[in-house]
Amino acid sequence: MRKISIDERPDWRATAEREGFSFHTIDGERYWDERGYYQFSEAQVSRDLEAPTQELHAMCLDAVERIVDSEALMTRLAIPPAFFDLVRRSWKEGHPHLYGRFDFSYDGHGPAKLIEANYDTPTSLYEAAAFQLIWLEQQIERGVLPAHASQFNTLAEDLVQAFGTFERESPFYFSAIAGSVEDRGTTDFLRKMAGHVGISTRHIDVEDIGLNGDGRFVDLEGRPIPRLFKLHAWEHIFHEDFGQAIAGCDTQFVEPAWKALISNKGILPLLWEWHEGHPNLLPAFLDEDPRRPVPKGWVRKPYFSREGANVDIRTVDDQRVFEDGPYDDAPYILQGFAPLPKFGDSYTLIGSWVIGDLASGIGIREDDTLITKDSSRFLPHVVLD
Amino acid sequence: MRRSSVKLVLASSLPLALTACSAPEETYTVSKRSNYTTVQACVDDKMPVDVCSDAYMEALADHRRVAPTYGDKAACEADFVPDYCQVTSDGRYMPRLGGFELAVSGEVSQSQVDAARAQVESSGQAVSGGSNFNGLLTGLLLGQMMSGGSRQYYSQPVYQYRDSRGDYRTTTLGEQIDQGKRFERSDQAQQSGGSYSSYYSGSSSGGSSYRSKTSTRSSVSSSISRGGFGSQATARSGWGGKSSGGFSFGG
Repeated sequence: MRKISIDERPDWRATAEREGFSFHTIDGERYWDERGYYQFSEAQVSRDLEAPTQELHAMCLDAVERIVDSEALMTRLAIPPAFFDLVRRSWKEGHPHLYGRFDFSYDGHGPAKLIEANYDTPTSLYEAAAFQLIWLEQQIERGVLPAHASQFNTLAEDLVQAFGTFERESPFYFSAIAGSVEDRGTTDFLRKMAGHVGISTRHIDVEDIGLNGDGRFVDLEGRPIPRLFKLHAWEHIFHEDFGQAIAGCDTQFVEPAWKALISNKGILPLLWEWHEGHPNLLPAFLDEDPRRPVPKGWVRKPYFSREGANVDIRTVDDQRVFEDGPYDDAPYILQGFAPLPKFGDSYTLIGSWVIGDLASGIGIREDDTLITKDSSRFLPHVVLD
Repeated sequence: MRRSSVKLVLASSLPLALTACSAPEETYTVSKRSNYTTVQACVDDKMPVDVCSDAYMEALADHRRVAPTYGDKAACEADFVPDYCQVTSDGRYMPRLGGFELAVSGEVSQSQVDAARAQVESSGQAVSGGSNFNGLLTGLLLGQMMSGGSRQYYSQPVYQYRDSRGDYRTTTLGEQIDQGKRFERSDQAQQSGGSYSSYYSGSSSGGSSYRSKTSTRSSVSSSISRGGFGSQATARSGWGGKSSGGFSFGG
């Protein structure tokens, strides 16, 4: 694994605009950054990223199986008791799931370490599945990269496969919070993949979803929503007005409610408890006293936090790196600190995707600090021996 | 190492599946963002009058709530343009409302796109393929969308200022902040530790979300309630003073 500088395609911004990748630049700063790329060997990808992703996914599903039968464990994961049954039922009835992303600290040597699992509302999907693929094809076409260069990236193909398991008769609604261009980029890309198998799709903003007198969720025209992909976290839904209507409705939610168990940093101490010493896991414990300072070599994280918010790192040599945020109202965990590797001036995080039940590809984020945030840059990768 | 066929992800690629004649139609999102100095200018641009007047009222309300105010006229005009600031009822100075930005967005069906495309072509204009519409086609589709079906829009106030090259421009406060303006001498900046932008991102409703206005064809039952999803996510948004739509509620 190394980082290689490369000339940007002179026309990449026009390409991004044409392809509908409108958030390539955020607040004037590069989000998509193709001034460099990461190169991996085949062995690094298949042995160190693909295989562990597949294994961790299986471990997470096994954890869900154990948790849903235990009210004590659901309580420990801060699931409100009113939703125990919804979560349990969604798992027991086998409600289908579409996607998730593990974030790894990995530098090309030794085992990748699982930082967290984004298993409910992961974003950066379009960039990983589509725009880095287009980048690679064009750089090969233009003779900049060799013809046998490839990527660990079957995301689009696997999404089409996954959508193929859904029935095609009724419309599939895709929802995101109004106003977020990035979230809309994710749902619009998923709609395109669903369209490949003949599913008819519609967009609705999360805030526009209606609840009618019969307890059914409806669109803006009052038509029932049979299936809803929601880029909106379950831990939020549990505390919103319509949350309590879900148990009695006839809408199929994707991701299903059981994803709330994995997309919850409380799962990390449980994984450690059940698989202590696993090479891809970091030691993790419930933080009994979040008011005391973080011990050296540990990281404090809230159960629910996104884009690095409220993450508090204390390095082995006593440096503190802290990202403030709004997620200070849930329990915390302590996780062993596995510093992100530094390439040049940037800290690098690998997002490893699971589509359906398959390890499907990676996307790489870089930040100037040890905490990857929503402003972190996205860089393409190449697999080449 | 395997990778997907790029054909699956290109914007121009068609769905793989052959859809039957009765299959529901593909929809396209059409959107447009424009500045208007008056409601009349908005109506002249073929926007429905109720949308234009609502957009103006919304921008005016936002203006009263978020526009920077100053202790003296010179400080105000330094941030905007000469002779642009007015006295408020409590003796402060604030910029005039320079108009409003209206962003509209909505979905149109494949048959609407096909019909509009045929109309443009019959007038002798070239139309590009795929889902990237040119200006003429967008205008036609917007007209159809705004006059029926569901439509969404938002507005925010705009103000004149001089950019770094001295040119006069008119844009929203959010964009002026993005371009580096700090409004340091405004009352709001002085009260919040020198930062107007943190005040702005906390108070402005402009641009934060589209408001939905469905047309009043009332096949829709009156007992539908809305807004029961999303409050928890939006309550945590805007963290870090982000002003554009680039942030994610996902992760």
